[in-house]
Amino acid sequence: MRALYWNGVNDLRVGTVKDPEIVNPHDAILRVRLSTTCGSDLHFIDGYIPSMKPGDVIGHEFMGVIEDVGPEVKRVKRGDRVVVPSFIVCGQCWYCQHNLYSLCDNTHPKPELQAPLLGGYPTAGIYGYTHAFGGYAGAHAQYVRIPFADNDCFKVPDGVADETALFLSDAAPTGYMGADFCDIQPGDTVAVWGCGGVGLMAQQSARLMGAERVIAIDRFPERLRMAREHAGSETIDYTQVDSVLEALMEMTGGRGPDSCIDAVGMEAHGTGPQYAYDRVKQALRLETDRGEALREAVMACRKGGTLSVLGVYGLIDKFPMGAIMNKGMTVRSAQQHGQAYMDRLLAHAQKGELNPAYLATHRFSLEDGPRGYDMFKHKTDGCVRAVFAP
Amino acid sequence: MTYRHSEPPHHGMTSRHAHAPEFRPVLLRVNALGVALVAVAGVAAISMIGAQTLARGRTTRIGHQRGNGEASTYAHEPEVERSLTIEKPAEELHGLWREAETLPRVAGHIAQIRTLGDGETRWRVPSPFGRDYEWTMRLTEDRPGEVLRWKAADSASALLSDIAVRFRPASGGRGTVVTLRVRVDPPGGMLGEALLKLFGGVVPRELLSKSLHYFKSLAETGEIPTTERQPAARADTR
Repeated sequence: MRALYWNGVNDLRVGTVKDPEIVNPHDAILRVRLSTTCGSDLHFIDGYIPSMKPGDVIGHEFMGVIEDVGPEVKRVKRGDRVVVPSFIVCGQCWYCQHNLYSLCDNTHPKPELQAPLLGGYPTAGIYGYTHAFGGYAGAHAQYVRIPFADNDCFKVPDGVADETALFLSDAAPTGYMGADFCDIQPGDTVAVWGCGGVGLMAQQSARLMGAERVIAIDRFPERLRMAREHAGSETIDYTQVDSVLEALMEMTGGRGPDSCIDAVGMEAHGTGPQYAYDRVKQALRLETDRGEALREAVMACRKGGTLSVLGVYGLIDKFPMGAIMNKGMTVRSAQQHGQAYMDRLLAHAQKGELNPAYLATHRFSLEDGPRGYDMFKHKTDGCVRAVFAP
Repeated sequence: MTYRHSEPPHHGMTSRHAHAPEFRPVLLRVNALGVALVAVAGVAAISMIGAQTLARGRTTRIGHQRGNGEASTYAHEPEVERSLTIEKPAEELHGLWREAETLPRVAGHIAQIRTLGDGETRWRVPSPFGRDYEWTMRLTEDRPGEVLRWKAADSASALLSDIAVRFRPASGGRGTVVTLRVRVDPPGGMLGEALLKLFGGVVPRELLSKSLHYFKSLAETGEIPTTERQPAARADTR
């Protein structure tokens, strides 16, 4: 089959690889209909997170049709049109039983590679996202093997288009979880850093959960426009204000946002000396992360508020722990527990309350995958997400 | 899961922690001040490992510098132990571990294991230094729900001379704590670094940990997570 693979830092290629096969009894094989780029892919494409091997098929946000199932698969069958969350989960362990799906105990084939990163407690495996996170083949391909298909494949109702279902694989559940972490009360104001796929989904989710105001922070005019038009957010272009902190304080009447969601992560952009400091340290590999957005979110949040971290980080320094402690903040974070939210997300999609298809600004054949990633990375032509059809 | 923190501090390792042969991006240098970290790649891993190294360096020791710039800090201790909590009753886990196919499946990354019958298994570890290590393990203790223990029948060629699996109830009714204790005791002795080479750079306690995780997956889900036979644009696709 044809697949998009990582050949080295900033070197993606399309080639012919063997087809996946049923290996374990709960496996299914999915014929991919659509897959999409994710900002977190850029971290290993750019070489900021380790343990990729040349030849790894990438891609963790996708949907398609079941092609084949293993002997123990009971709930899904050949021909089902399904969306698959990015994290592979067993459905049996303590974490799965407690809706903490991305922390699943039983789906990481290479825990010894992750131990140095997380202290020896392996998390769920991810499709196409480094060997430290399982080393599973990804979904930018014609076919992909889905372990534990009964837990991980969700049938897409008629009337929900492929392009809508696609983003229920990662961007929507991640954003939705980020809003859920904020325990939003009527009248709340939620500030969201980042207007990429996850940030926009977090903004829409916050509205669905009852936030009265959502304030979005980014620098790209077309993304800020999407935030206003699709999520009903107020917006701050951080390159156009002296201080995001002051802007938020004024917009909230000196109270501060009740919750702050970081949907940016380790490759944040910013302005000013702190950003320059991070750039230099990251270039010298003295820290992995540029943490401008995260630091700003901590400082901007009201007393007793919630910081919800969706951005992907490695090791960050100059982290304002004192502000978190003295302001009595709650910090919540996770990789997406998509399986916990999928029923609600599909219901929202079916009722038209959440339609993420607008994120698909650019569509490519799989053969043009490297060009798609390049446009996505550089946000060329207003690219929010590049979508691939095999 | 519960790991026991019983190892003495110097038992750990630093820069060589958990690298498969193809994943060796880490170049770690601890200078006299113990503060400089230089990485060529693998940034997140580096930073975390570096932090551990610095923390340990203060209280224990700092790895000596080798010519290639890698710190050599793995000091081998023959007794290695790891525990993991599994959400199944002890009797069931004991029974699963006694099944002939279990040991080859959960310890296949340590050795090629062949079941001989009568509680005996034949172990083989390919060696980059010449003669492969090959020996027989014999079941010496078997108390349902409590313990299983195997000892090397011919310890003159055994890399692992004593393997014990113990079961005890987990607190809070959360299943069973399974403790795997192994004596890694190469004939004629072996430097820690040489031992690591046999196992692709992975330290023994991580090998044990992986076995426990595989056993847990098998017990809780009926299968072991794997990337075998998957697609990739290279020869060894795992």
